[in-house]
Amino acid sequence: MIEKNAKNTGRKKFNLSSLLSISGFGVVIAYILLCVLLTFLSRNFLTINNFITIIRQAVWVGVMGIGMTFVIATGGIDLSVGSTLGFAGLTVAVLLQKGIEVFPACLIAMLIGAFIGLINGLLISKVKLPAFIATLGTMSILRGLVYVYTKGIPVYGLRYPAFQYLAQGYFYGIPFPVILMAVLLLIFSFLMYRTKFGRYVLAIGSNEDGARLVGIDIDKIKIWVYILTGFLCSISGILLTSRSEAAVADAGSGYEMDAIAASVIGGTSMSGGKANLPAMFLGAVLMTTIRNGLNLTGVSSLWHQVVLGFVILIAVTMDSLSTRLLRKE
Amino acid sequence: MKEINKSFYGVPVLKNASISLNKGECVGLIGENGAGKSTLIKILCGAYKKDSGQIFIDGKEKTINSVEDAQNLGIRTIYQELSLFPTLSVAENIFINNEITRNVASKLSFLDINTMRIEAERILKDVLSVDIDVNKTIENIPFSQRQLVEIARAIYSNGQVIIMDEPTTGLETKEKEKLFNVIYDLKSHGKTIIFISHYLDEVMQVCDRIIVLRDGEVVIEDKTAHMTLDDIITSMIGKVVDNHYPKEKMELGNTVLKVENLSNVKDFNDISFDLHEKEIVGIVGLAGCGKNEILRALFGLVKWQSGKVTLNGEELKFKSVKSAMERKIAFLPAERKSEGIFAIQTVSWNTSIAALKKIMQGWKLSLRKEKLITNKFISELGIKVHSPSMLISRLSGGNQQKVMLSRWFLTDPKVLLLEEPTRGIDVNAKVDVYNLIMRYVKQGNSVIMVSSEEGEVLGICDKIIVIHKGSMVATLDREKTSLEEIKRYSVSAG
Repeated sequence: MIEKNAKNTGRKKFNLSSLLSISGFGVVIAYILLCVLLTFLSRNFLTINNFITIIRQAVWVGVMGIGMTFVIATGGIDLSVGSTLGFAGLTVAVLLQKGIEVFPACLIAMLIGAFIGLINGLLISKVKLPAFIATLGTMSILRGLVYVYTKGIPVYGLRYPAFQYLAQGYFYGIPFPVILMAVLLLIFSFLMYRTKFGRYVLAIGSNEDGARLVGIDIDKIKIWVYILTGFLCSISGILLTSRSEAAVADAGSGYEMDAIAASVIGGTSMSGGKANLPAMFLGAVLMTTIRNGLNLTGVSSLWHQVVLGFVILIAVTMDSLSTRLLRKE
Repeated sequence: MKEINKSFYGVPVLKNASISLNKGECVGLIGENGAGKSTLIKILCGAYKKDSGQIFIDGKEKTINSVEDAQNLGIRTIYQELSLFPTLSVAENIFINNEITRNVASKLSFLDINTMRIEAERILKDVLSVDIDVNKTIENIPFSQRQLVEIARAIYSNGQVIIMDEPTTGLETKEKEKLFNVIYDLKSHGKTIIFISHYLDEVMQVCDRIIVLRDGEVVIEDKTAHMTLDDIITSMIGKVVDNHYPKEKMELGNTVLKVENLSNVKDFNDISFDLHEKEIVGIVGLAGCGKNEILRALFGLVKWQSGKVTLNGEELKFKSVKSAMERKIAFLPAERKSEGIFAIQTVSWNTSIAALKKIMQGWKLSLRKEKLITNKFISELGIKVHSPSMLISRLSGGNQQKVMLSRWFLTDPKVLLLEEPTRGIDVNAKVDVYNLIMRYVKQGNSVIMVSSEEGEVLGICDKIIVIHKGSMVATLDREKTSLEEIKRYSVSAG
């Protein structure tokens, strides 16, 4: 982008607006500033171990965020992601307790996640409910079901080595969830930017009427996007259950906001048509880092939400300012 | 209004336009699209500022700098796109921003809902002689009554000059009669009406005087009784100057598309025509006559109830746009912004979206191929753009339209459906578009084109079908017809 702009104007000069036009650039700068600040505030911050912890914690939101980014790219929203995560996490826990092998248990949980996505997709595209309302409904139903089943008591004691490995294992010295995240990012980035499917997702988000007139089956694409999201949430749910070796009734509650925030901090436009998956993950890492930093510097966890709220506002404001600056040019 | 001038970006839209309105009179204001009607009206109701000229009311010069100024002078406009609040009741709409209140304390007053209700009923019954339940919300009353509510609002707020912009659009004959009666009543109450309509027969029926605008000038201003329909049409069109249409006479080939007795009752009825290889068929008619729906039906966007469409001998039953595209039909919509371009995407993205198959490499989209193809179109169609990765929204209308054409040419269509292919683009780009259409049919393809510019239809089409209120009223041969004839068929059933 920078190079192209420089070519167009015939000079290679530092150009603020062309830098800002790279989506994700704002997050990188914000992240570096944050790290510098936290390094000064806590001597435990800038260590490899701490960074691995941060990235590992960012994976829950990151995996869900991939789905959320697809949904938002079509111009929709999915509020049920946190509940889907909780529901799938509970499913896998219950199945394991009943003596089912790790692989089939995970597979069933993922299928259930995909099925929840299918329901969301059908409600939105066929019943024509607004995405916000439809997923608000499924969010409440799923969370409710989890409470009904567990009566608030965690399903715990899931000490199966193969299952523990998923969130706690290392692969050539790198935590397995981090590898999984990288692989998923690669696959879904390819899907978004290098396949017909991804183009159609962005087309629907850019201009739904226009998309219809070039022969895109809008309902089909939307349904698949929600299926993908449900599927990814179930992966997050399995990882979280594996990490805590238990399924807690309110696991993943409130994560929908984190997933939306990660997407938006990463430059995905809420009105659809634009998406940046790597920057979304950076957004997730940024939020985790702030939580981590606040812990290390001894700030009461009660303040975390307040700080995160400000970070979201600042990130989005920077994004909208840079878009306006570009438009002026 | 005296010697009003107005230019946009240096292009004069009104040139010394002067009109006068008398009390208790209905004046028809007519002209082609772009003649300056709406600009003149917008100056009168304060939406635009005039460059020069004067406005006199009751002999005194007045300044109108804002919509409020116009409102205070008693000028009311009833727009095509109604400006009512759909979820509020009829009475609430009539009194919006003019509420009747009851003082309770010095600074505190309540809305006097009862008085408003009674007063609303009185206006509707006594002045407009219509019976509308004033408690119903606007969204729950029929379309034709909404307009009357707007008129009631104009009367209550003591409007003296009431401007009606295409008031009969969407009205049935009976409702129209009612509206005309309301207009007669308003006149007898001493109100002045400006009636703007494309339906010349209606204008002649209801107006006392007619003003014809052409290219920003008043060309005729006279009593209706002194004019004939032909006079008006000739004065609207003026002298035909151009010959910038690159039309070439070609031997037509076999029948490609056959449309037989196509009806969907709501928009169009009993439409039949043939389309041959190398032929361009034009469909014209007034806004809302159903011409666009006919075209959209052929692309699977509008359903039909009866009739038959055959393409190369095979009957077409569309389930979706996709099935139309599979039959090698392409459709360029009129609303470029809302239905055509993907504004936040690049030129190459916009070019390839309808034919991604062409840039696939196995499972993968090849950005290299996409760029190559786009560059080919950029040079062939003369699209002015720095690079294929530029955002399409930064291009001019004409260049955007060429990208739209590229998009559809890339799907290798045999039949190209064009809806207002030159709307909102400059003259040079128009000629380019005509050339592209000609080049396309020369390769053995066919085009159906819907346009509200009769001139361009006459300029490049072989056959011209005129639609009036959903029905075909004439099929004209390019070489044996004239603009006047086309116009005459479009404005009145013949």
